[in-house]
Amino acid sequence: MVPLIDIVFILLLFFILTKTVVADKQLSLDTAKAQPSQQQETVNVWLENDDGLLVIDGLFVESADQDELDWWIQNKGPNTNYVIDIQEDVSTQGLITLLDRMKQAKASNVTIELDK
Amino acid sequence: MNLIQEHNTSNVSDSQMIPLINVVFLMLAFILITGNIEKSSEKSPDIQELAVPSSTSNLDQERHDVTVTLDKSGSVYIDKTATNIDDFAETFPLSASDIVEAQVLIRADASVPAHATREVLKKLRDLGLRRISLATVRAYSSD
Repeated sequence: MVPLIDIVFILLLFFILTKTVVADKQLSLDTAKAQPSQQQETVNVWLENDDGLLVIDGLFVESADQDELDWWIQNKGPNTNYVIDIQEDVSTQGLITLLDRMKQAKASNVTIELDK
Repeated sequence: MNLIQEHNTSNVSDSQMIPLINVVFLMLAFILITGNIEKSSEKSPDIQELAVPSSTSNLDQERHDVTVTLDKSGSVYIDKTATNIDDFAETFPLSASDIVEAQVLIRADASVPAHATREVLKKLRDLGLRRISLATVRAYSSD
């Protein structure tokens, strides 16, 4: 019995050391240029920092406060195009977190400003 | 008499091990089912260990034709080839005809400035790529 247990423990150790339990996921990004139309208003969103401080229409919005962001998104309407521009010291994680929050707030047309 | 007693002790000891062995087998089965052995051959020795960003919007990672890596130091790799943002288009391995349908995965470290990730996105867009995704790990929303 003891050799069997030894083998099982060695197998267990091997799998613990080599496994990655959390499989990688992906977030699809839209790089197409927003096509302005008469029906859709375009709103520029300026991401100030990793905490999610935004400037929308010249006003500060705390995106970390999901209720506040929801209110803004609902106020602007569901068909609004949001174009996100980023401050120099914002990290990729900060940008992804904002995209998540915008999605959670039901903003469907969100693009990243690439032409600056 | 003494020998019989020893034999009984050994039997008891073996039977006491069975729950432990059961637990170990269960753990082994769990890890075999849930774990993915990392393909170390996909990594270039130069690429630093990445902490990809976490996201609540999690799609399972699709098959991709090209992987662009942005590591902590800001170095850019196309698959295993080190490059820089200025030579990005020249280093990109796909021909113009293949680019239209190509799927590109960006593996950027979470701490890399978003501006660097944006530069890569811009280069990919300028090359004509439309199917671009960013590698993430699952984050759980506070709800």
